[in-house]
Amino acid sequence: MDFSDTPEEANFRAEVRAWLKANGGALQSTAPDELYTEADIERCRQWQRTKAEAGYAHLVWPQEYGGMGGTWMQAAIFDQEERRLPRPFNYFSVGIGQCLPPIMTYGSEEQKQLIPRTLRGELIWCQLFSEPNAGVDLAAVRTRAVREGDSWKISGQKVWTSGAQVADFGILLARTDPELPKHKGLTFFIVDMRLPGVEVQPIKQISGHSEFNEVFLDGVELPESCRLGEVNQGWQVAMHALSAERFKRLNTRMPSMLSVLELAQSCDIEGTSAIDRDDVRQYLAGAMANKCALENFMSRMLTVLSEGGELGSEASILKLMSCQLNQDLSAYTMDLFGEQGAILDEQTHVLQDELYDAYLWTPGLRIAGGADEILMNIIAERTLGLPGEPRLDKGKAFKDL
Amino acid sequence: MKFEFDEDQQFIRNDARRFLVDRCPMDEVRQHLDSDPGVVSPLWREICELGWLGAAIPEAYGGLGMGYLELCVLAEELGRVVAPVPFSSSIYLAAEAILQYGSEEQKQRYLPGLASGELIGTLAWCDGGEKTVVLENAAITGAKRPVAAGTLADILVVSAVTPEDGQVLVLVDLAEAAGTSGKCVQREALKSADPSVRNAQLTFDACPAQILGNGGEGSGALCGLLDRAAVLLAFEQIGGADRCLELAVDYVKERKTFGRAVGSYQAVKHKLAKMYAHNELARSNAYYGAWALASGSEELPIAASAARISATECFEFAAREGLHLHGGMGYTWEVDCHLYLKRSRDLALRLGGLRQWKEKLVSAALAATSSPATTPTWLANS
Repeated sequence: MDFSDTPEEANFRAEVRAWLKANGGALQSTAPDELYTEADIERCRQWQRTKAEAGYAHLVWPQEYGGMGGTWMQAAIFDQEERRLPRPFNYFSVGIGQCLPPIMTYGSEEQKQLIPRTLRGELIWCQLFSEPNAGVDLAAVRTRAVREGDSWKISGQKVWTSGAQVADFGILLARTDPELPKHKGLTFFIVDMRLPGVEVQPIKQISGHSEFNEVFLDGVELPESCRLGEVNQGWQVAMHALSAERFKRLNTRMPSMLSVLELAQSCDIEGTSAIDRDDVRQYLAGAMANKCALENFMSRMLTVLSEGGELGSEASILKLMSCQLNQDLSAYTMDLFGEQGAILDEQTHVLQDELYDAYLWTPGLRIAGGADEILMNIIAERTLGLPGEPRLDKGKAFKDL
Repeated sequence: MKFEFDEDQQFIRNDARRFLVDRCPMDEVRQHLDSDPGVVSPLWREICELGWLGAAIPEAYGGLGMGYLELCVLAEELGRVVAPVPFSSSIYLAAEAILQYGSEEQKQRYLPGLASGELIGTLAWCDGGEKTVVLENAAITGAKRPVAAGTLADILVVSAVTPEDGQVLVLVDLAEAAGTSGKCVQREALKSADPSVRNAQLTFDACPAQILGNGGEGSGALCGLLDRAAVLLAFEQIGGADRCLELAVDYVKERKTFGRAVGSYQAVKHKLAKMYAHNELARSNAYYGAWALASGSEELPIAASAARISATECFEFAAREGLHLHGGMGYTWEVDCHLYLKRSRDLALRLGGLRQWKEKLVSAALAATSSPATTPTWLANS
């Protein structure tokens, strides 16, 4: 029972620290207003290139594709150390985390040439999966891919596509045979986002920013070489993309517990410091115990990786439970200031902006990448072995649903 | 990174689980609720023979000298079967008190008996609104309630105040006390949330007592002792919570309503998924506590409080909702759910309730964050 690194892990961590110290000194975090601006993308691109030159763009994949050929534990160590620095928003994470893994597994050698280019920061990717009528129920996608001679014609609409406004390529799930049951008539493609017929329209989010988009595909012509995997085998490829992110970080945008404690010490409630009030202490203790548990749970997951294992569905506890904690804690913390808490300036508190950012970000995170209810179904069915819901769509042709 | 029990410890777990499934059937636990409060269960003798009591007691004092991680594993297994034995009182509290704070002579004299089970010990620390126990002229006067295993104990570690208002832990050898001055201790069995815990009120009237060690640790000794015990008790709570989850999952897989398994409804699944998540998170904090206990870390007060809070909350949730998912059957004496519900309530209150441990976590965290060097990593991570 020990948090410390094995000697090999400690050596690697020291190496990474030294490298980050030498190369990461000038890094800056992306302010919410800078997201998806040219200047910010360029900063992220440069950092990606710097990492790629040292082999740190992908710790696990083989060197011939631009990786380091290391282990998932080394990837987790690099991530932990990189997390300590301010850093630009990562425009490459969708590509590296979700789009490239199925290409690595199912791609032709020609398709795999996209991997090193992405790792070097040349290509940004997006994921053309969700549609207005296919989110949680992803296999219900309606975007059609029809074969015409040697190529495919794609028509339909995608939505919630993060980064489509700047993406060079997308991975696409489209229906090739509506006569088959819904999971069986799908095929997976790689789309050049600059092709005629691709139109991207930003969606304004509750934060006022636009990180994701609607993507309209109107007769987009794709050559056969853009198909990934077999015809009508797209579901398996898509599942590979969705489960590929092996190490799930706590991506919460929430300030640390230490800064919440400091805030409570500096906040005055009717002449008493908030931290001296029994109700505040009781609430914060509950929140701290949960935060502590999430961090310790992560150490248990790292232990699995460290021993060469793979993370199962239990890892989804991290997103499920951290969202719940942060939504509640960010609101509670703003509550300490009473009416002043609604004002997001330094006169209320320097952390106000960050807290409200966490408060507005969490509802999105609770939906993205598996909504709370889906994650609980996954835990119940895969980990606890409970039976699935009876389904009305099983075995029926998609066109008859 | 190896934030997990190792293979030898897993081996001890598997062995202990096999033994307890065989030797601690739930029917015996149930019967124990109604049995004579002055009688220890037959299971206790068997556990003594296995040497579990001495897992963390050094060989020099008659123990096995393994360590606290092994004791955590055993605690979890005892919690899974709500074992009706005075293990926690005798080992996490009495033996720990002597081991941590006793003089060499006290260790030599009492630890071998506690390690073999020949002696049952407990800690009497709650005043319960009665007269505070006062130490004067090597004798104590006053009352303590409740005292877990108080109807069974042979030796007591008692928190007392001196005439100068100092706090000390003292040791009372009940056989010796009875020999020297007759009726200087009265025991009264108390009606309790979980009758198998054998709670009692102990009233002392000039009862001979010896200061534990040199008494120099003061109130810090009691505080430190409760931290250590909280980690071990958290493992008992998690063992119980995990078993509640298993019982509920097994039941809803079998039980059918409207032509389908109850476990196929999302309202049921989601409750069980949450129960699993709470249990796993509580387990993670208990590991943190186990690490702090075994490594002698300065983070122990923080780790113990976090472990205690999460374990209490998860056991309470699992016991309540696990019973609920059994429907009307869950409310009957013959189904095991109430054994866990009662144990959960008892363990939630033993060593002080949630309110006290939450206060302790905040105070300990504020003390630690006064310097970056003592700030735990998890507090500083965003």
